[in-house]
Parts: sequence; structure tokens; C-alpha cells
Amino acid sequence: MQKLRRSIKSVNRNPIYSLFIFIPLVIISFMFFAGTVVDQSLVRGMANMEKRLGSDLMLVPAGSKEEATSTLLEGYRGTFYFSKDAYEQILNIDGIKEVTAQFYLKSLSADCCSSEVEIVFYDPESDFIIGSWINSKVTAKQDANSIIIGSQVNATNGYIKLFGKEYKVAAQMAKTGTSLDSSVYFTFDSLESVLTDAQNGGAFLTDNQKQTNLISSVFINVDDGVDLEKIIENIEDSVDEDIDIVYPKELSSSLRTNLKGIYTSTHLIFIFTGILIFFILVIVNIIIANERKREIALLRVFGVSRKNVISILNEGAVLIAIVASATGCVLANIIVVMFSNLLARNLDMPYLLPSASRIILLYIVVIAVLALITALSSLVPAIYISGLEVYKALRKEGE
Amino acid sequence: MIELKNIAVSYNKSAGNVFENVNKTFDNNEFVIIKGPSGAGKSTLLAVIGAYLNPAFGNVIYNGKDINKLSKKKIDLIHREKFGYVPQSNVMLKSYSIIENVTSPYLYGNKNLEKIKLEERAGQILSDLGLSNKLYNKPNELSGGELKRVAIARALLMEPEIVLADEPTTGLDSQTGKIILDYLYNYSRKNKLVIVSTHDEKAFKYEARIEDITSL
Amino acid sequence: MKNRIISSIAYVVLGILLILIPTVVFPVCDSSMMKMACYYTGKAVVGIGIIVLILGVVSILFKDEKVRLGISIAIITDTVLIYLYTFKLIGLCKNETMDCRVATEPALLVATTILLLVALLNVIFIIVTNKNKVESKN
Repeated sequence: MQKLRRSIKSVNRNPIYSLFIFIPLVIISFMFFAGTVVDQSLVRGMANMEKRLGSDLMLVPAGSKEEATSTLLEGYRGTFYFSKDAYEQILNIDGIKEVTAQFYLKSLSADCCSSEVEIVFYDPESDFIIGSWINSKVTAKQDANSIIIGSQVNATNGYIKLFGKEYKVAAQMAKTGTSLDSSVYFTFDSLESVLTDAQNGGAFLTDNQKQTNLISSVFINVDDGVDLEKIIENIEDSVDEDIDIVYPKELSSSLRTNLKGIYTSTHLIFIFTGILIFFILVIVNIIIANERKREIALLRVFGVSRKNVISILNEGAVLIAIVASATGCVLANIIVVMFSNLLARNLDMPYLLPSASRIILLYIVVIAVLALITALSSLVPAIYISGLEVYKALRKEGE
Repeated sequence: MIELKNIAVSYNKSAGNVFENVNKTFDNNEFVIIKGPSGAGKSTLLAVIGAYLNPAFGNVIYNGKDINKLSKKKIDLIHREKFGYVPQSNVMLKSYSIIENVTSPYLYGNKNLEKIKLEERAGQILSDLGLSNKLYNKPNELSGGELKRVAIARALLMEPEIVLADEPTTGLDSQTGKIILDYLYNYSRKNKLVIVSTHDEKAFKYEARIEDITSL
Repeated sequence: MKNRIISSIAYVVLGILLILIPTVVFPVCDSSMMKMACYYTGKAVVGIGIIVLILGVVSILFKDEKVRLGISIAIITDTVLIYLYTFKLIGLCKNETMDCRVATEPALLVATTILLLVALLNVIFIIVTNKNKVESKN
């Protein structure tokens, strides 16, 4: 308590110097907090994308490679189609561990959600992508009249309206920070009826979309240790149609590398700025210590130990550091959390905020590190000033 | 009780010694005046006696031991409990009240002392010196003479054995000067040693031992 | 005097912000097809923003503390009204990914909360300094 009072008096002694310590620390803590949260959100979103959409191979119709890649990353569900036969033709290829197919459609905007929703049809028996991350308990096994929805889709009383028909929500997915959050999922059993509803509801369907024996993509996982090239050869031989191949895992890993690059450069910037600020702090602390030279000498005259004197000089600065870095963190927290959806949209990448406990940890780390750095910056001038010969330090200039 | 043996002091190495071969002994119950013109080294001598400045040569013996050879901890303890120093220019802790200025230097890092008791005593001494209505003001609200009295209260708070006052009445009106010198003289009568450096004529009216700085 | 200038300028600036956020900075969802809730909320907030701006200007002109106290209280009630409009009375789009939820909502929240804090601090400040004045008179 005494220490706190003393620290506050230290700070009030010369408010302008205190400000020169306060402001740079607010800035650096803000930068570091916001930057770290954004970085971690990107990493988390990326990890989710790998888990949810990361299969070794993804087959799509020829010419749709780019659309498919966008689908994976940004969530715009492309509407591209090829024959279901392709799926059947590769089922028995050696070295393929699991295969599953999907079909994509877009809803009408007026229906349920004041904007379009992506509709995905999947096969629950062969699926290894969607099933693993259902949030609420699945109350009934999904049937032709029930639907699974992403975290951002709003259901009223457990039901969703699509093309004029109501579907019971079988489960809602956990938030992933990816395109999956704004999608809904039907089994292939529902395909025919949904397509009929769509046409009746006035949706414009292409010829491709009107047929029920088409699929949009095939996800493939291969056995460990097999030669991917060989399997691809086999696939291309087995499938009649022309197809493109996307490599979701490779895609995410190359994005990961890019992210790491961004991460490294932003952190280099932080470190550089941090060093700059450290020097500013040292200079300010030297000025402060010099100004308090006579006061300190007086305390030494009355037997206050050198150790105590050093801590007296430090206290005010550390108090400022704690308050300033907490302020910077709070400001960054507000901006980054409140505007996280806007950031995610602008970044156009999977984005998921870190958990609350991680954020608290970040607060602690930032505040502790900055307090330590500030204490260090005031240490050298404090050691010097406290060691001066008392009588000489006490005298006014010109005595 | 305090003995100077072969003390030599210089301001810097090239300038030579300000004084050398100084041998003096000071005892309790003495009121000592060190007189002499400005710049002759009175303040410096006082600082050496109080071990606030290392002599270029010689020993300062206090209670049988060379002060400057003691551990830092012991020296700090002596400064806190046995010596009291009134510096020539008033140095105050800017953001503290007057009464806190008197007590704080002793309270830092010293959990054994009771703040309340010390503040009581501080209040008493400040009242004796005529400052009872300024206890809670800040230093910048007091005049030079008032601040000097605060410095004296601060030096005497722990009832030190030895009090060293450097030009305590310089620049003050004669009434204030008298209050201060009276207080210091009376303090020396309590079996204490008070050494005052001054060129104030009033000081010579007290029953004092007078040392001339120019003829040490 | 310092308090008067700082708080008045804050009111003016925040009033302008409230006008600009739903219209220029983070405009509410496009209403060419259909006028959605956020469109009306946006209009309401702009209206309140204009009021805050005018009150801020008035606050600079009047030295009388009672007047400024009244203005600050009025502004506090205005911020409550903005919260009510945005979340209860009119509301915004349900879908989290719409513009009004992603950008306009957080911006309005931040600006309104800052305005509320400034007004609250102003009220506290005026009451406390008046109490001190009365005490020292006695």
C-alpha cells in the first residue's frame, strides 16, 4: 500500500515525463495485443480449415479448379457439376482410404437469413469431413427432412425455411471461422425434393442443377505411405470425364507458410518498435533520475539504503507501465474483438478469435513484459544516481 | 565522541588540498561553531565529519571505529539513527506534505518504525519551531525560512547524537535565525554534539566552542 | 472552463461520428431492394447524432453549470435511446454476416459508449466541483 502511494506521488511529481513513458507504452501494447490476436485468429481459422476441409485430394470438374479453391478458402460455394459416375469409378482404386462426394447449391436470399446461404449435400455414410464437428447433440439421425446448419445460420424454434419449406434443424455446427459457418447441410436423400422446391419456389436453376445424378466434388483421403502420383494416374485413367484435382492439404500448408511469413514480419516490426521504445524509456528515465538527484541524495543522507533508493526511482515508472500497457491492451481488445467480423471479411481468410483464456493470458504476458522492460530501462540511471557521492550530489549548481 | 585524525580534503585531484592535517576531537554537550568566509571549506569539513563525503586522506573515528571503513549497512544505520544533517540548501520531497517530508526519509524500508509515533513527534518539533499550521502544506507553499526549520525538524526527528548544520541561518531574517540557533543550542545541552558552520554574528553569542576554518 | 471546452468538443465530435457511421463510414445494408431494419435504425441514429451535435454546440456557449449539467443528462438519455433503437426497438439484420452487424454495429457501440462515459464523467465532475464550492463558501 505504501509502495502504491509512493508510486503515485512519483508519477505526479512531473506529469510530463510520466506522459512520455505512458504514451509509447500504450502504443506498443496496443500493437502487440492486436497483432497477436489477429495472428492467432488466422492460425486458428487455418487449423480449422485444415481439419474440416483438409483431404488429400479433391476432384472437381475440369476448369473449376479456381472456383473450387475459392470454395475451400473463402466460402463462396462455386456451382460446378460433373457426373456421379466419377465417384463410382474411383471407389475401388487401390490405396484410397476414404472417398466422399458433395453437391452445392445456393439458397434464395429472402428465405430465412436475409442473405444467401450455401447448401451442401453430402453422404453421411461415407462422409469424413462434416460429421466430426457437430456442436449440439444430434437429436435425430439426419433424414430427408432435417438439416444441419453452420454456426452463423439462424434457426427459429429449431426450424429453417428454405425455398418455402420448413426443415427441422438436426444439429448446429461449432464455429470454425471458415465458410462452413454460413452453410447448411442436407443428405443426398433430400436432393430431389429440395431441387423440386427450388424450382417451384422460383429459383433459377441451370440445367445442370436440375439433374439429380450430378455431384460437385469428391474428397479423397489416401492410405499412409502410398505414392500419390500413382493414385492420381489411376484416378485419371478410371474416370471418363475430364477432371481437375485440387490438393486441399497442400493448399492449406502453403497458406500456413505464407501466414508464418506474415507472422514473422509483423513480429519483427514489433521487436524493432519495442527496442526503439526501450531507448526512449531509457532517455526519459535518465532525465527523471537526474532531476531527482538531490532528492535521492537527501534520502541517502538519512540512511536510506542504495537498494531502497533504486526501487524508489523504479516504482513510478513500473506503475505507469502497468497502467499504460493495461490501457493499450483494453483498447486493442475492444477494437479487435468488436470488429473481428469486419477484419475477417477484409482479410478474406479463415478467422477465428482465440479463446477467452488465451486472451487473458495475453493480457498477463503483455503487461508483465512491458513492466519488466520499463523497470530495466530505469535501472541503469537509478544505479548510477544512487551511487553518487552524497554530499556532492546534494549541492546545488554553483555552491 | 567524534575524532578527526589527519584529515585532508581536496575538491579535485589537481587543485590540491583545501585543508590538511586536521586533527580534532568533538564531544557531547558541545555546541561547536565553525566560522570562516564563504568558499573556505566549512561545508566540506562538515560533510567529512558526518561521513557524507570521503576525505582525501585520514580517518573519521566515531565510537572508536573508522566510519568510512564500516559496511554500507552500518554507515546507513548510523546516518539514520545517530547523525542529523541540515544541508546548506533546502532539499525537499516535492510531492509530499511538510510532515511527510520530516518523517519519510526514516520510514523508507524501515518497517520497524511506527509511522504514527513518528508523525506525532514530527508534529511536536515542527510546532516548537513555529510551524504548527503548515504541517500539511506542500514545500512550494513555504518560505525559505520555514523550509529551513523543516530541515532542522527533519534532522532532529530521531534525536541523533550528533547534529551537523550547514549555514542554517544564511539568508534568513534575524528573528527566524534566532529561533533556529536557540533550538540548536538547547538541543546540545541534552548531552548532544551540535556542530554549526556559519558566519552569522548571532551565533557567537552562545556558549560555544569556536573553530576557525582558516586556522585548523 | 477546461472541462466545458473538452466535454463540449467531445460531444460535437461524437455527434458528428454518430451521423457519419451509419451513412458514410460503415453504411447500413443496401436498401434498394428492400428496406430492412438496419435502414431505419440508421436513420434514427443519425437523428440522435444531430441532436447531440447541437447540444454540444450549445454547451460551449453557456457558462452556467446548471445548463451544462442538464445537457449532459440529456445526452446520457440519448445514448440509452441509441442502445434501445439498435438492439430492441428497431434492431439490425439477424444475419451476423450482414454489413450492419459486421461493421456498423460495433462502431456504433464504441462511439455510443464513449459518449455515455464522457457525459457521465461530466455530470460527476460538475456535481463534485459544485459540492466543493458550496463547502468552501461555508
